[in-house]
Amino acid sequence: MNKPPQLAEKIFTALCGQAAVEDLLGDLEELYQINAVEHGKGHAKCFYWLQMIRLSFSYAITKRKNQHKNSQPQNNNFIAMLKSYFKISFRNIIKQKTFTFLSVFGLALGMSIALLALTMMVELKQFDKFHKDSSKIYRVTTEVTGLESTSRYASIPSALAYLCDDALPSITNKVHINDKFFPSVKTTGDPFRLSGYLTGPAFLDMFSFPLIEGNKSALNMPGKVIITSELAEKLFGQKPAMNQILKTENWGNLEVAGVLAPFPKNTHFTFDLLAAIPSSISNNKKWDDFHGNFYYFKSDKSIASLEKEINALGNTGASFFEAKNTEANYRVQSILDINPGPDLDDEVGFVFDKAGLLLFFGTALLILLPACINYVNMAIASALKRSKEIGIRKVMGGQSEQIIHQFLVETILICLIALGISTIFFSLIRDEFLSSLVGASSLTFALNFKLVFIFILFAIGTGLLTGLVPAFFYARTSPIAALRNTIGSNKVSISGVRKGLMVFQFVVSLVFMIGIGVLVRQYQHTLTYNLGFHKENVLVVPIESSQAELLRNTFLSNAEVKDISFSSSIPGTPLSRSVYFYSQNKFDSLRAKEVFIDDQFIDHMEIEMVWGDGKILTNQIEQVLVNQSLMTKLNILNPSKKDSLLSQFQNDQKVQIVGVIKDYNHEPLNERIEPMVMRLSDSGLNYALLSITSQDLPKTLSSLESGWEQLYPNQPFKSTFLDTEIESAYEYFMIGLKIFGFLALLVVTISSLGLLGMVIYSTENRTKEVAIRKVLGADGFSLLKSLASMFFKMWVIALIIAVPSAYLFYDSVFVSIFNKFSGGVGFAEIFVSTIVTIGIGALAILWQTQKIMRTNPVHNLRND
Amino acid sequence: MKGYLGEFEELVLLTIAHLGEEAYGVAILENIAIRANRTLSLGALHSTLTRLEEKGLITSYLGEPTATRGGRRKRYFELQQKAIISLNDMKSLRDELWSVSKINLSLK
Repeated sequence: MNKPPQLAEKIFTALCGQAAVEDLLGDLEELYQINAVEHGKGHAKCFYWLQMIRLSFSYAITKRKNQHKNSQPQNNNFIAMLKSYFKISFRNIIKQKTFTFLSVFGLALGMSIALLALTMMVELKQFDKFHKDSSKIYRVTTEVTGLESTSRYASIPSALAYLCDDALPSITNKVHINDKFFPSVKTTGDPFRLSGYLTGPAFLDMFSFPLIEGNKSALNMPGKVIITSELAEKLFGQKPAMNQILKTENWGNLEVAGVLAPFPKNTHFTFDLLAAIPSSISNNKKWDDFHGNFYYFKSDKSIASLEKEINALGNTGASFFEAKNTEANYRVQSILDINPGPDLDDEVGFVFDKAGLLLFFGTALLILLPACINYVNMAIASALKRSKEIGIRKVMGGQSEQIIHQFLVETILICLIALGISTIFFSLIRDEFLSSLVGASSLTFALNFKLVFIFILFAIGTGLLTGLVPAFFYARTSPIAALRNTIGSNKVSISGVRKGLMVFQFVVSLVFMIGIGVLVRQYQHTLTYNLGFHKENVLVVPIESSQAELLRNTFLSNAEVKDISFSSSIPGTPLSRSVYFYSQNKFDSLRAKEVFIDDQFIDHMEIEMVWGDGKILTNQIEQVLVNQSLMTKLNILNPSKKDSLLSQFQNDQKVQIVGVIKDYNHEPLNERIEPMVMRLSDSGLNYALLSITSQDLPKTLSSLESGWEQLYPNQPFKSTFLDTEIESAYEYFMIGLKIFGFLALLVVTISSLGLLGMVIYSTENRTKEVAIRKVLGADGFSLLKSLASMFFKMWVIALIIAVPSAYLFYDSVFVSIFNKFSGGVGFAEIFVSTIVTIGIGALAILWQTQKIMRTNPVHNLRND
Repeated sequence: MKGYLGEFEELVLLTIAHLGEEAYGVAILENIAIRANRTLSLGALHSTLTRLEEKGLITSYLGEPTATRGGRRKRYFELQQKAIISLNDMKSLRDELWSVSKINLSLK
């Protein structure tokens, strides 16, 4: 009897898989037999192939395949299986205590930073939502395209803003904001600098900042301000703030005409006070200068159509930009997209830009990743212990999907436990993190239901992704290999990929540790650096400049006060004032930092002079001192001048240079030494600097204080030492150290935990080997060599990668940008950090190998 | 219209009815080929049969293996009550349309 083409039949069965197609094959063969008789064998074969192919792609086969898939028994009672997964997971977690502890602890540490990042993200998403109709509030931003670059500003030309007011019927509320409002309130010490907005009553209509006192119409009246409740408390304490007068240096007297109720901090606006827009600004409608001018409005229209309308209006001013070879485009941004949003120049308040956030998320991931890798490593390393379970499951008919589910459930469970512990870490580090974050005052980081829900989702997600690797590893194994305990051909060694992952972790932790070393060293370096003036035993007392002469005599009458001088700023801290020098034709100018001093200052602070004796006399032409860098620049500014010491100063004033100071760091070391001018003044002195030689410091201080109190009973006496003031100017170092230290601690701990886990598994699998070696007479050293050599080899590879890259990174990027004055990264800090990191790792290795080496070989070989 | 039947579906159903207890894949195929003078593939036929089964118009059961089929069993198809109702609906609709036709449809 004729047989149909076997190949076609095989292909057909293969295509159909496990679907029931017996009858179809039968039909095919029957047709073949009929055809063979009627038309001959060749024709019948062709016909068979054709029919087979058409049948394979027919609906009948698809349907039968689906039917087969859905008829699997486990799908009918998924809940029961889930219960079983959980039960087995619990048993495994409890059974493998070390493994569970190491992975849970590691994951919890790794998650803590990710939780911070998540919380921040969630909070930023809520920014500015509390305003009424917040989804309808927009602002206009400017994009200036030049020949080489494009810059984006949050501000717009004031002329355009006023044009929009009249020409756009589709926008309802309109708010103009100008943020060039920085009144400084006079107090003792440095003036109290405030930042506020110049705006109109519409500001309080559009944004939900309720008033507790006063009326919003105050924003129409010049000379009146509305202040926040925080500022009211800071300035006036418990006293009523209404109708108080703020005496400011640059804005005259401002009357408080309203106090805002405390409002949610999650807004991109940051202001202490609000005032009306003075007519000098509102009448000055310009196209080319738009810095500090913001425009907000409400509209029901879509962003695209608003942009079109505004750009059409913007064309009126295009010529102003063309004159500068630039082109301006205007964009409409919803206030909900401001935070987190694009990094715009000239921002109205503080905005967390997306790039910074991404960096933060990247760091969080860099910390979490090693923890997940460790889990995967340990889960696969424990294959020996789990192989019987897997084998039996498979023999009993467990599908590979079920094994995958089992491991996913287990990993998710571990991640959820880790989440619980991580939340504790989270609440511990939260406050510290907030205190070191710029602009953190607008974040609360409070836990709420939504956040908890997101945390749980995050943990489940982490569990799913982490669990996939071990799950597929186990699902793939054959039941025979599993039952014979031969999962993975050579069970003692660790596979190349996992070695690579371990090395990666070592590298990351080494880089972090070296970073700490570098930071500590740079901090020390900064504090011991010779700033160029005398800073020991100098007491700093904030004063009002009118008090200077009186205080000089009072303080000097105290026997312990050796010397006294006054200045406008504390040496070693940032300078804020600057003035301009002009070239003779007044076309060119030069900016210089300005310090007011009294005539004793140079002598007292032991500042070295290059030329002149440092004495300034009150002459008809004002006499000043300049530093070397200003002198060099002045010579370039006026190269042909006969008398280089006579200089054009601002306001058509001439000054005579009577001394050149050797360049010294009046500002913190990370600032470059900039051109600086020192002027004699009676009115700009904010600090008294007292050299004291005291044996009994508290007594001296109290006698100084009583002297102060006799003169000024209403003002508190405040004093600090100069070197502590300077140290506090480097607080950013301490913050950096703290953040870096914490991250390094996390990374090192996580990678040590991972190392420990790997050592435990690789040694436990070798108990018999060690026992036999011992019986054959191996000594401790050779045992250690055989057990730990692999890990030490990995350390060596990590060192070769990490040390040069860390050195290059910190030396060329970090130190050369932030701490130029210092000599770069030294050998010592790298060496110490490396030794410490390796020491921690070596401890983990030694601890475990010791344990296995000390056991009596009899215990391990008894049953063989 | 409820229980809509396609032309080919109707043809298959009627062929099954004609074959009675002998209605299986190849038999249906041959019958249609002879009567309707139309060659169709096994795939097309089985797809239609599967869809008819999905609609609940027919059921199927496996019969005995025979030698010509390489020792494999036949799948027999049976009409359901629903199919008979659908066929009747179709027929009466046709009859009605024939009887109300304003044009003379007779070929004579």
